[in-house]
Amino acid sequence: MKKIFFFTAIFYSSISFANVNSQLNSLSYEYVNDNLSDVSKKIQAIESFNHKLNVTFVEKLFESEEDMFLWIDANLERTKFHSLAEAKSEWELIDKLQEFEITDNSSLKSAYELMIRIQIKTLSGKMMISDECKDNFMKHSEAHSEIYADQIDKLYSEYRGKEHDERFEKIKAIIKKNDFIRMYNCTTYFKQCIGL
Amino acid sequence: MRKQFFLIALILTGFVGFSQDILNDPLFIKYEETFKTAYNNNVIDLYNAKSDEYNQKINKNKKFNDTPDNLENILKEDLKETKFKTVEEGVNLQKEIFSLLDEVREVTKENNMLFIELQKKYTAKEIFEAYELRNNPFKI
Repeated sequence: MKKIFFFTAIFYSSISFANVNSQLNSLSYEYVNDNLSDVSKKIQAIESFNHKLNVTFVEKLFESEEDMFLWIDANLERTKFHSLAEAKSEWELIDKLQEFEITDNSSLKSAYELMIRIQIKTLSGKMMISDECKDNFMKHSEAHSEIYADQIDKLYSEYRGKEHDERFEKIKAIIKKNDFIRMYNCTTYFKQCIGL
Repeated sequence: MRKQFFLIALILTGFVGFSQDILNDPLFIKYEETFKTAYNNNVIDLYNAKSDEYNQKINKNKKFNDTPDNLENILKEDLKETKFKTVEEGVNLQKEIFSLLDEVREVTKENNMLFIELQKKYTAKEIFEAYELRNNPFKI
């Protein structure tokens, strides 16, 4: 029954947020099940933030949260935020998406990356980003997300019921670091593709 | 039955053949080398460790993820909400993170450029999977 609820909720989310869906699908069932009730709230928070940010990726591709807040602060009148504090407050809500991570501190599944991907998806209809750049970036991101999620799943499955030893930590560190480098592959491609 | 076997064998041969193509491609080999160079550079670890430390010390409070100019004032006002002993400690750690981020960009630069070149011939999935095929983290 839980699984049906899980798939129904995921399917519902996929109607307007294919990216969130693909991220969530790749996470462990148990973990996501526990957090499903908050999914729609979090998606709404992203939508709201995205709307207020009011920036196109032709103009700007943020590389970090700091970079994003720096831009908001300097361009407040261009955004629909009333203050930097408001932007930060809304960002805190979005940040809770990190609860969906299987492991802590995953650059891949951070709220920030979800934000970027959703932003590209939702804004692409209104801006002049070539379909090629956008589509390839989405494919690249999905490719590295998939490898990361598969490997983490495999690692946790292998150690289910067992104590996490030195080998576990070592493999986990490799998976995370490889993913970090791939993430840079993807964002560098996208930035170059759109001429940033 | 023989036909089915032949078809499966043909598909497998095609798949292995394709994997070998990318694995033997000099551009991919260069990508693989630069990936390892970036991996073996501890600047990524340092950047992640310092970012973790910062996040832990600000109790993941986004208020403190601000621009360098603003951070000092925010810390002066709300230092007690953090685990920093002084304002300078927080400001200096943030500066260090920014500086490490520049280094991360530098050490991954060549690998990123090669990825861009490679993806003109192969999909990202093929590139990433080919790397994992020869550098499987589970085979340590």
